[in-house]
Amino acid sequence: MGRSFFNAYSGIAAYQRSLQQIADNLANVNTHGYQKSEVSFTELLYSDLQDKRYAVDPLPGGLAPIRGKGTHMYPVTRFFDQGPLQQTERSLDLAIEGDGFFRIIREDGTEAYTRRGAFYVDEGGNIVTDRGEHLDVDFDLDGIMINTVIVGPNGQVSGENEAGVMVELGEIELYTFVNRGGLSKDSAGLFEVTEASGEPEQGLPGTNGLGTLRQYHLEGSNVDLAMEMVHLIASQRALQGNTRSMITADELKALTLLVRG
Amino acid sequence: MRGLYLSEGAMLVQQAQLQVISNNLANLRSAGFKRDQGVETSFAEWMIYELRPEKDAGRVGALHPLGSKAHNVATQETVTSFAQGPLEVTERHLDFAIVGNGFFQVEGEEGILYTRNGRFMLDADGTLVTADGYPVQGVGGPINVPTDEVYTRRDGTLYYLDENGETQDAGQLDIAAFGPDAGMEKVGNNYFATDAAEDEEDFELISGFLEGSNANLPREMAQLMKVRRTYEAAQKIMITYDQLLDKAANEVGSSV
Repeated sequence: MGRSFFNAYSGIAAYQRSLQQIADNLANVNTHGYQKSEVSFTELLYSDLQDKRYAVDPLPGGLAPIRGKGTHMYPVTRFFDQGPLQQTERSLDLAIEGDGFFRIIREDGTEAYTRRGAFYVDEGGNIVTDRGEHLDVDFDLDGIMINTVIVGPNGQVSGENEAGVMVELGEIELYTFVNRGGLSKDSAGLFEVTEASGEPEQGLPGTNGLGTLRQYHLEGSNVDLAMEMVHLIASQRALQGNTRSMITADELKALTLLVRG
Repeated sequence: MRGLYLSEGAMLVQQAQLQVISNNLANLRSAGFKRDQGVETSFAEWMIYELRPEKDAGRVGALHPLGSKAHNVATQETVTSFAQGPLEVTERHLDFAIVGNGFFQVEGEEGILYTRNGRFMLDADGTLVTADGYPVQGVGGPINVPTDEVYTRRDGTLYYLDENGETQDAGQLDIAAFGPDAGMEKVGNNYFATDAAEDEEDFELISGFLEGSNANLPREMAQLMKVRRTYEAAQKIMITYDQLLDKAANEVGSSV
């Protein structure tokens, strides 16, 4: 009977985790560049009922009766499908239409990747994220009028200098991975290379499936509200079902004790 | 005294049933999960005869049948239902579902395993693998693709679009089907193992969907109630026996 408790417990823990992930997705339904995640579950190993003092009487040649050990969670699956493009009024809002990522250099010099394309300019003219981390490009916008910056679909950046002359500044490159699903996410929502993701492949937007850049746009969250609602209902009901089986296991125990109440 | 052990046997079988049901419930959202059902059986039945020494004096072997009696109850088998689970839309390119008869084949640590869970991913080399890292078998070996945007035809052939937007074939998923007597054994993580020969395939493959668990809440809830009440009935029998034994021990021969 202890096994039934643990089966129910594993289910309750699993569907609570599932509800947390759904809440996380729902909270980020309006977060630019957010990629939704989903938890998935699988069964645990089985053992023979016979080994656990339960009377069994198998059919000749048949499989021995088994009992499962509940459920457990697989690593989170991240969905990289394209989010909707939303128009903005900032020249440094860049959306990627395609599979690529921007490369960010963190303060400690390490590299990270993101599809969140809301960039700013710091005092030194560097293109930075809202957290002050540098976009990995070999030019800066020092002395350039920000409102005049033009970013082409293929990554070419140009802008007017103080003299009002349009100058070519450089290019924003994008990065792609054999297995995007293997990237890990840090606490700030930036992606990091792992063994599973493979090394990044670098290229100009518009080549090699990297996608093109769209200026004055941001990529919206790819969370689909209706699908999250379906998952919410399914996970909540599954949680309740497992609560019920835990209660039943408890009732059987109580009934046993009541024999000599 | 036998009644005590009979009711105990009935209670233990219901406990075993609860373990099976609670496992089904725990896996309500496990893709490709196939539910189990415990089947109860009585122990072999015995005929019971009566001896009537006075009446049958002098007759050899005279027995008067009273009826049959089973000595206890046990779990006979846990039958796995291979009924189709519901198709759940995910819109993910590397999620596959089989509609009909068949299993994905993956290369486990100790040989080929079979599964209906089609949530696959790529490893760093672009090989199609399960969440456990087992390579998914295509016709003629593992499947390699340079991108996770893979499209699927109904026969299980995969293709993707190259840099020039042209269709490139990426192999075909090798689906294996088995007959009802294949003795598919559950080995955990929604994998099955069998030594049986393959049967004729009859399936359609779709991507962007997963096959959900075929355990469903209402049925498991009904089973749960049945277990609860059967257990209670056996418990009542045990209490009754206890009361009978109480009378025998404390009241028979008592002068009060």
